[in-house]
Amino acid sequence: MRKFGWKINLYPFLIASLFFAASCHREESLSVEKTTPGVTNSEIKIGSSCALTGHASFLGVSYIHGAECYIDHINEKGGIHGRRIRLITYDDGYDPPRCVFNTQKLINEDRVFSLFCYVGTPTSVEIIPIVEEAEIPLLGLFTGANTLRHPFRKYIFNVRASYYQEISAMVKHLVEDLNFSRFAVFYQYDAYGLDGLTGTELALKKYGLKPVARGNYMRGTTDIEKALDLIIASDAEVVIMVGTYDPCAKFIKNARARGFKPVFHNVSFVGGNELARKLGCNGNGVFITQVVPSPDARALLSTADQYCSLLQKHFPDEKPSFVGLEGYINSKVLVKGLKWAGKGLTREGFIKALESMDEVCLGIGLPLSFGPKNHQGLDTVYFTEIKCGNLVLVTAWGSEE
Amino acid sequence: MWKPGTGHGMGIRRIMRSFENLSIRQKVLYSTVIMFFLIGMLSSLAYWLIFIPNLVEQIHQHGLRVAYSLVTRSRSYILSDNRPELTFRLFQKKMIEKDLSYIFITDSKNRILAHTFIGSIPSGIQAANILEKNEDEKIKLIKIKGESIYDGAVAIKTGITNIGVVHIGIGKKPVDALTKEVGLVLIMVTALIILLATLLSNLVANYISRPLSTLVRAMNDLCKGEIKELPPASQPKKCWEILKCDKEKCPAYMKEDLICWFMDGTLCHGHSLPKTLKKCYNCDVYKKLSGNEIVQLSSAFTEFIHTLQLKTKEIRTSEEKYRLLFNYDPNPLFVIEMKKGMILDVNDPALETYQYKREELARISILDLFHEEDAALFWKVVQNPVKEYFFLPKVRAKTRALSSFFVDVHARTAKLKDMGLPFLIISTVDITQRLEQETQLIQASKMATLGEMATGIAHELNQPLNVIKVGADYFEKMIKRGEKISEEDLSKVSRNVSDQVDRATDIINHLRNFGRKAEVNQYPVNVNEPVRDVFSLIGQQLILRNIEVNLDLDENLPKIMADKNRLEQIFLNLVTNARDAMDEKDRKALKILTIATKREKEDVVIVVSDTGVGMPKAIKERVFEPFFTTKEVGKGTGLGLSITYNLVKDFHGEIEVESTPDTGTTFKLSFPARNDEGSKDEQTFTH
Repeated sequence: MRKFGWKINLYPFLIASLFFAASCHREESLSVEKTTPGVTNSEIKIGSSCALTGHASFLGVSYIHGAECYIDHINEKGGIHGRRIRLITYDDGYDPPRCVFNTQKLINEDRVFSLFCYVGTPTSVEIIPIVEEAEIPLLGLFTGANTLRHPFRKYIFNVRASYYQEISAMVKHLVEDLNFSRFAVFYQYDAYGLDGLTGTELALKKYGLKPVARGNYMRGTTDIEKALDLIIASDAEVVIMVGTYDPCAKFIKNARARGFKPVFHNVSFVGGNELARKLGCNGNGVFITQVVPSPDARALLSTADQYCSLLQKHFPDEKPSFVGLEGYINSKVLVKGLKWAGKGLTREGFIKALESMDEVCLGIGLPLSFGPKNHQGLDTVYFTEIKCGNLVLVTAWGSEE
Repeated sequence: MWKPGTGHGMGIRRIMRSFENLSIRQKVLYSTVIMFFLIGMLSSLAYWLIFIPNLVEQIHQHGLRVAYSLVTRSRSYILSDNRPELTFRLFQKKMIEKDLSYIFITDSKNRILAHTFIGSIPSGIQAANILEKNEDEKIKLIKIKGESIYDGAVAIKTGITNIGVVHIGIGKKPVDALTKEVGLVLIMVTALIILLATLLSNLVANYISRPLSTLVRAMNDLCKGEIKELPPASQPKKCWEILKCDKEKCPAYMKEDLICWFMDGTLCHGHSLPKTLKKCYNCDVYKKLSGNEIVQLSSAFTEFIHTLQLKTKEIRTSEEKYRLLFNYDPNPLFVIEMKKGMILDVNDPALETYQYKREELARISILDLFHEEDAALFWKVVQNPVKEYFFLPKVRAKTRALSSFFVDVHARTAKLKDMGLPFLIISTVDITQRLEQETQLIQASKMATLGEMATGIAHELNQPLNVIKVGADYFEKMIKRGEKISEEDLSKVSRNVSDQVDRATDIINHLRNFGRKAEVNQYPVNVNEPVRDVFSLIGQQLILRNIEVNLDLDENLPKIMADKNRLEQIFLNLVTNARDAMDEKDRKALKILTIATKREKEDVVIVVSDTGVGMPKAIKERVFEPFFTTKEVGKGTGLGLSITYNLVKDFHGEIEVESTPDTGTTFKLSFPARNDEGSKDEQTFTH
């Protein structure tokens, strides 16, 4: 009798593998080499959308002016590799739809080389997919939202520390140094506020704590009464505030007026200088975390000094602010990146140049580092306190200092 | 053979034939694999013909639903010309509906109000799929930058006025990729199923073919004549052992060839077959036999072989028994076929008697064991057997060393069921010793006859003696008288004396010949000669007793194969009997002895009749018995006619007797005439 053994059993494999071979052929799309958008021999177009008007206009204006004064300074010096930087700025009024519309316009019609200096979480978050689809770099955002950092975004470069970092640093001091345990959260009901809420909850979780109350308000309004009631009722010792200066100022004022005197903490986005201005001496004891050093430290930091003088030169009416300094620092990073990317400027080259930044000195006392998998430039959080309309750097915590 | 035009049909037939030639294992394997392959092909076909179009349609419908949802949401923004909000809505929608390649909204003049294109708006996209006035929705495959896209357009209306159109783009490539992916999964699953089916059917095929192969092997062994003890199943437990049964009347009880009353249905008569007993489920026999057909076949076959073993054992025992009987017969026994007389089987005495080895005998014909003439005669009888049984006396046989001896041949044709050609069982009985005795007996009888004839012979001799005496007396008287005997007389008398002396010498010679112990010869003889010779012995006697002898001899008779001396003895016996029978009659009664010879067809016939006292029927029937005599004690031996009978038979003749009391008796002898006259000389051999 003849034995076939395994010989015959190979047929199905054969058939199957034929199928696979047929189906594994995949079409490969050819990427067409284009000329880099927004780059000519004499000009580099950079686009920005931020709140230049409306309830957050202080933030947008300060931010852009800070950035612009350095760019103008560079342009006056002859630009980068012979190219002047043209910053196109559209006003979105801290309104996400307008931000999206502006961004589309910047990409499609203005054909900018890169996006730059976006302000606000709800606005920035909405353009992430557009940025990714357009494969356009976005450098420097005035927001510490986690969404812009995680998961890793190839085209988004965050210069400043995140809200999580700000809040967790603050909470650490409040819990460890000042022994607070009753935290309430007052937040703007949008991507920004919720991001701050999450950051607070995560930070408290480390100590086995939970917010005792959560109160919110709608973006663009100052309807804080309900939230205030809720938080007062919770008898909180600390109120972490994730909002903009108007509602936050109102909240603090009203709380104080009602005899509710907890420790208030605001994140950097609140626009510390504006908040301090609005609160005046009412704001004493309100903590604000910052992600850049104080522009007042002109004697210590060359960049702060530079910023103040350039601002004075280009925008004489404007006072230096933390927000403005952040914009100014963004510009410094932008200029360095464009420089490093070389003459044959491409978006990829620019991104590579940014990613190659390791321990770069920006004249703010601490170095900035990016990397191929790290688009978080600075991590330092600065603590400030309002003292009669002024922001004062906190140097000592509690009685033990 | 391949022929043009029939190639196709031949091909299928050839494939069918090759399939026929496959083993069961391969058949099961191939057909399962082919079946699953076909199933796979069919499902793939169904997938391509039904599922894909359906899937594409579903995707289109989904796209249109998205467009409709945008219609409701965007209406107010269009009316207020809020393009950022419109754009934002589109982007938000597109973020959720990731499969869409684009969304855009045109106004009533077909200008783009909002869109989700990043980079640039493909030129002419708003004109690629334009809704007619009466259309609310439309899907059209368009090409944008070389990419195929299904553009779905849905009209935005306020009342009946068309204020814009929502367009959604569904890339054809993602749809194709999806269908391809699903197809790939389907193919992989099919391939996996085929693989599993192959493995499984391999197992099943093995499961089926292994017992079959075992059966085939066993069957082959069986054909080769090896009945092997089969492994496990060969000795199944018997039901009575399992049930510890004591129903001795059950047909299956203690029967080796029945396995189980439940399976065989051999439960004792008068009992209905019960439901399967609980015990049965644990019973090896039941388990083994209630399996699938192949197991049952295997079991049945095992049982068959087991039975065969038993039967074979029985047959072997029987065969041994008959072999023993066969060999214990002191006479040589042959089994021969009837075409050439080839020897099929012999017993041990045959080997001994004929001094052959068994292998040698198996190569020769039985005819080689006989003398040529006897063999021819024997073969003639074999070819035309009158009866099942026949007997040939005094056949000359020869051993391997060519020494001769006489045998009686008993033969019987036989035909076994299912054994095809008839065959012959032959027994040769060595009669050498018997013949010796017979010869002595014949001699004794002859001497007795001679004794009886002594007076007659004396008388016979007297006559010539008297003549001589007369002559001698004449010479003496003439000498006494002193007379001279004439020359003439002297010569006459002396011649007379000489004649008479010759005659006397003849008689004496004849007598001496007759009395001699004769050798057994067979040679061509004319029967008239011995008939005449008899009368030279007792002719004178008959005359003295007033018996008239009437010889009616046919002078043109063919010769027969016999011995003259023996024939003379036969006739002498018959004539003596006739003489005695006529002596008993009145002195004056008419006494005639007639001897006639003639030819009747192929036979030479001799009729000896007398007008004696005859004999009744009761005596007539016994005349050929040895020692039967009607004569007074001391007068006859009672052997005469018995010997006569045997002698006639020796020469292959027949003897009949007709007798009427007081009228006479007639003996009729017939011998086969010799065909080829004179061609053969006498053959003489002694023992």
